[in-house]
Amino acid sequence: MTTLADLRSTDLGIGLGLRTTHYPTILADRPAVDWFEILSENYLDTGGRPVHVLDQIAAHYPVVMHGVSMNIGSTDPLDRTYLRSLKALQQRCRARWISDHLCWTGVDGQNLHDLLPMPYTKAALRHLVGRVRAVQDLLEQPLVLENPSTYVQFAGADFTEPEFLQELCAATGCGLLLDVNNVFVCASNHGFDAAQYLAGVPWDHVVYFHLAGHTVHDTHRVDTHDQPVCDEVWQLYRHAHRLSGGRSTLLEWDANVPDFATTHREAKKALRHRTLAAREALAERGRRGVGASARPERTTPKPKPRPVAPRRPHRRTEVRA
Amino acid sequence: MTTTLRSLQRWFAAVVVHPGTVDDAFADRRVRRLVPGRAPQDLLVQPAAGDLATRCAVYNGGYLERLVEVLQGDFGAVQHLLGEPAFRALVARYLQRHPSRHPNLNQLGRAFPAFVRAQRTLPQRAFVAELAQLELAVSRAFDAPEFTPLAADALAAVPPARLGSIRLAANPSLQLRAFRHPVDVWYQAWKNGEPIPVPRPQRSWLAVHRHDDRVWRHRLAHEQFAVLSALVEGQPLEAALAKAPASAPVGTWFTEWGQNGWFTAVRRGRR
Repeated sequence: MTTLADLRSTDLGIGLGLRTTHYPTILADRPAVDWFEILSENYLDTGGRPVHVLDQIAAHYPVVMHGVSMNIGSTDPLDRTYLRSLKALQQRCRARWISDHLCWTGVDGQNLHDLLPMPYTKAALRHLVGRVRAVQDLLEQPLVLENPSTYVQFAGADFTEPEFLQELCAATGCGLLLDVNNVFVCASNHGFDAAQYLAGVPWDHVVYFHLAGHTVHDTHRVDTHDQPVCDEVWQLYRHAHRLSGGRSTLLEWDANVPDFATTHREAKKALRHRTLAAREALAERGRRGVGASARPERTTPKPKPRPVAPRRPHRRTEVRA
Repeated sequence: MTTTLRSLQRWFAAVVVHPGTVDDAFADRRVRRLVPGRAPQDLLVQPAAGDLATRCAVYNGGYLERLVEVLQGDFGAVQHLLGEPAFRALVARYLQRHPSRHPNLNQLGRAFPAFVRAQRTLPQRAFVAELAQLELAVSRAFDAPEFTPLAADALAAVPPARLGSIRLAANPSLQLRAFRHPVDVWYQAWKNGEPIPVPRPQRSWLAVHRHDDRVWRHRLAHEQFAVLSALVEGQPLEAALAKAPASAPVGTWFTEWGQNGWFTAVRRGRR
């Protein structure tokens, strides 16, 4: 059985979210990408072009599965058919791990196809612990869960989000996908310090990072994945990289997707930021002297107004011939 | 008073899918009943900037936006025919009646043609419903399970005396449709970027299938449709061929259908 240590010790390098618009370039040119993350649902319940393209890509690149419909936080029963489909897909494409989101996507059988926020209460934690364990038993591996972007918070929280993640990870042994852009978006939306958030992350459980662009509105930010990663998120990524000691990193670009070369260039910026992070770590040690403990810097900037854009979801985007 | 996780999720889901604004949702008695005695301000933290309604609108607005976009992808021809505002309004009503209940968005439009057919006030609804049927058939063919077409010589290997009793397993992507309008003619014109007026009723028959990962459409004669339908239903070859006139060039048909990969297995004996 795969362990969390197996996942954490796997640094796949800098990856890209696999998008249909890039299929022709990837299949024809076999560009030097370290790995691809697939949106799991795009390859479930279908037997045609999507899975055949995936077969070809999985033959040449490491693949990771990232889903949006596990509904792990819902009070509905777990969808075991869906979970078994995930497992079968993993076997087919030899995905290194399976991730989804710390959220719920529907209740009473209805799927809203959105990543809805959890209340960070003791009751919700107990509920999630049981379900994450059940999923891990079925999948026979640690589940990797992503911190979502949220726009509201439920009242009556017993934990901050990092505290909730710590408790969940400790109780279940699950992995974390730390979406740095989501940390930044939530920090801005809910008025907390992103660096303090990072200080509370259970780093022993972080398997990989997500990076993406977002849209700034007058009073909040929306995780749109439709533009380059902003400077503040790169800065936060460097900080996260230092705290983690280095993890696989993936760029998501889901709307207004540019050509493959542009997307890949954006992802490869992460390499430069990893190097910068290493230099910053050295400089910090120099300033504080050997043995000084690292203290996160404040990285949350003030929101800047930008044109509004519609929120774009993760979704199936296969083009029919 | 405490609110259970389930009540909280039911309430928030009701706000997200509410057809009105977030303020409409907050005020809606059916929504409020889900969390008796609790106001939105009791359930959600006042945001650092802006108000709760604006924040909830990210979810409420995104819900319809996202699912309209999915169905625009699946029913592009229907949207073109109706115009975007009418299509959006139709989808909004559809989602109220047929919310997604599947992890995968490729299932979202399964009930759309039947829903369109039931819209009494929709102009040209009979044609629009058939167009939706055609587009759904394309989607279903695209997403059908994997299959291996029957080998070219498989039928030749069957002893002639037994040919009449065999049954042919259809390729799971094969979708047969009978229409009251020449709907594929309109659809092809739309795909060519040269839309034509909605045609007068005239019966037509269509096979939609996937071959080499591409979706293809074949217009059929009525007798071809009858034979194929009988085969897909699992009738023996002899009974299926009885649906066609004796003079029909069935040998040519089967050669073409075999080349299209419409059958995946020969089954002998009873079903």
